[in-house]
Amino acid sequence: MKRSKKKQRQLKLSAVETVLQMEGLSSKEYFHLEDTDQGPQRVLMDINLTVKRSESWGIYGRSAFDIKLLLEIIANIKPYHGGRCVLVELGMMRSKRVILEHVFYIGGSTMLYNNMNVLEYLMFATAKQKFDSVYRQESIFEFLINVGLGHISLTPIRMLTKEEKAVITLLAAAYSNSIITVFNVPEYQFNETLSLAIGKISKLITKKKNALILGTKNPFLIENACSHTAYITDGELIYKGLVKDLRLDYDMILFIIKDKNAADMLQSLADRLPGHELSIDGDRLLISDRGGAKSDPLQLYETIIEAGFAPQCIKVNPKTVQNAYEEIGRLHDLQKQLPQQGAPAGVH
Amino acid sequence: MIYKSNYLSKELRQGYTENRIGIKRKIAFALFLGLISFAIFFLLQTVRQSVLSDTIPEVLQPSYFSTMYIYIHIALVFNTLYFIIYYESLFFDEIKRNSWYLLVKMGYNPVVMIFSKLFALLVSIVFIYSIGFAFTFFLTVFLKYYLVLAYFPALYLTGLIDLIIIATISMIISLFIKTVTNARYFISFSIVLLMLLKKLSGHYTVLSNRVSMQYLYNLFDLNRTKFLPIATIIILICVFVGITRARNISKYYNLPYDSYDDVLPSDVKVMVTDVRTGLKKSIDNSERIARRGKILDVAFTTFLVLFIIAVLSFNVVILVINASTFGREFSVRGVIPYIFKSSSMEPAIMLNDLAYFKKLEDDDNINVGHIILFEEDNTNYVERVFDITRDTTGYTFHVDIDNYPPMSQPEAMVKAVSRDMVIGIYSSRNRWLGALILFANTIFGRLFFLLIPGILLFYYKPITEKLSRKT
Repeated sequence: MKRSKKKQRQLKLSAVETVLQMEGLSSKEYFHLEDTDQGPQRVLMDINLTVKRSESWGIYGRSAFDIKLLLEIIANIKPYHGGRCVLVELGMMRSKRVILEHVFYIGGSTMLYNNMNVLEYLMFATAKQKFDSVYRQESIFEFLINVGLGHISLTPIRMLTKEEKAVITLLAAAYSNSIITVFNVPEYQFNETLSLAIGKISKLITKKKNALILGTKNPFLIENACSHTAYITDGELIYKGLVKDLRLDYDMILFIIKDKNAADMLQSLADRLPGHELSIDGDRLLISDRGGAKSDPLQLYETIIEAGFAPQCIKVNPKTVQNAYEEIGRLHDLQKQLPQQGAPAGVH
Repeated sequence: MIYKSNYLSKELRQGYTENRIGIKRKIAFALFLGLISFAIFFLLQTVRQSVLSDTIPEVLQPSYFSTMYIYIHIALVFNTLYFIIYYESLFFDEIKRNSWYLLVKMGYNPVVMIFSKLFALLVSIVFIYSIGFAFTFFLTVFLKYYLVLAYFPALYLTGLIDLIIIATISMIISLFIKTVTNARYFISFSIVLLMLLKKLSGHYTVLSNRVSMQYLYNLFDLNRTKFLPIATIIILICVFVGITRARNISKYYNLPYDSYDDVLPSDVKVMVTDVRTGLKKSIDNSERIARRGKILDVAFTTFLVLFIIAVLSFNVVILVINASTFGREFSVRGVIPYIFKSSSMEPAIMLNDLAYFKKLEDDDNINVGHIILFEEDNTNYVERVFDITRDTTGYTFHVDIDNYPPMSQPEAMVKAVSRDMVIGIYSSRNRWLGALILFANTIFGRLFFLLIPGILLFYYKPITEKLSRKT
């Protein structure tokens, strides 16, 4: 009887497409601002977000605390103040925590047992799966090698960094039957190897028609591991959508010119490239689109030669999440400043 | 190699890396307990002729009872240390670290895990304790004492119950105390409470009596001791509360108290309003918990400092007393401390007592019945005045000792002492200090009183840092 009920529930859950729906959600927490005239300011306000199966979301933001709190509310670790939060068609109560069988939350790196090695732990964690242990160990070991973590597969867990431990925890979560995995460690600094590993684990999760929501301050990680992304700043989601769209729509940089005379080049090219915005980033000159300019590399090259420069390297910008988010952040800051500047003139 | 760990085998290995290593370490620990008990038995034999023979004769007797009695106490102290060191692996702290949360998500049953953990803990305790018990017995065989098997079951059971109580209390502590450091302090404190409970419930009266321990039912006789029913209740409550609490919290993700330390700038304060009370409180618990932990840290540091100072001061006193020779007796505010190395004045002054003599002043009277310290032919004597005569040269005190050894000639020590030969009049004695000085003068005592403060002084910082380490 109990088993058939469980089966029915699993069938019901497997039919659910939208795994997370947040509407107008606000947090209970607010910033206590001393020495200002402003009243208490809620950390999160009017959050709307929908996550579907097979999607992997990267929640990006300037403040790791904002990201962490949002993902804690999503996983029902923290209560919320207002709005609505539905998790796999189960409405979350505002104040009370409930046991969520289908949500796997990772908020740190302390879950693993330090007296086991990585492969041993993963075998231990997956022991309840009804697969032959030889086959299971072989497939886990192969997967570890595939994601680029083969070198730590036999390392005792106590010798791993907290970032490596978090990735191993995520890998264990990928082997679970959880519909949503929340990977909430925005304070961790993942190197390239680990970011790529997270990307491959993310693919494993989405391949199983489950969803991954990860919080990070690392745009490279979003680029590698996520199909969707959202940008949270000042307690609000100012962008949400596909990573692909974000890069195309918001990364305005067309070309990157690397040269030691980048500053001189900027002055000479400013007039020759109308509709473009030129900026300096170290020894790189960034040429961005500001008004529908054509992005013809040949034409640009000719213009530079005409100006009397022979740059070391000209690169067509591959469109990155980092550039896109920098642009969104810049626009957001501008928008915030505009009403303040306009108010004295009475523009409303 | 195919890894086929299940939860029970993981628990049985405890804090170690492999099952095989875990078993070897446990056996080594048990043998160490046996050896240390045996060493302490011998150590105590060096202070046998002291107050200890009256107060704790049960540890000084040349019998199996004494070695096994010492073992059960050594096992309690060292197992508690073992619990403190391996606290994070042995008890439910792993639930707070969310290790169980992950396993529950992976299909593990929390109830099975709770019972596996308790079972593994019990098995490990019994395993270590029994091997140590057997090894202590084996070592005692070489002393060729008369073997009385009757008190072994009662001694074995008593020691085991102590360990189970400490283990179950540690289990409860691991479920309710947030930081590892504080939990370790509480476990240390629980052993003191256990000793107190045993004393108050009359358990020590039964336990220290070699005759009553020959009958196991004496432990269950409520007229003699109420310890066992109390212990059973404590164990049952701890197990019941532990299972209920562990079952509940293992299904939830437990936020660490310092979860926002790395994401919240120190100058930003985030508040939340409590729904029930309406009070605003900071979400950052780490400051509050750190403050609580700091009190315990300060208490421990103060204790450590006081201990070092006390031991060093004691060393100085020992050196001065030992340096005090005939004609150069040292006195503190007119009191001469004197280690009494004879049984001639028993029962007034026992062998190895530290006796205090008031330095004789001109206006001091010496009466019949007084015990005096006097000097004759470059030798110090302590005897009791039984008669006083007076002639032209002054007073003469007739003295004799209180206790003649058997087969000796009575009145052989009767002496006539003039006032100028008297150094001091006996005022009081301290039996425990006498025993301590006796111990300090042995090789082990020297090591204990000089090496330990030395080590503590050098390694004070790493010790306190290790204890103050965050979870």
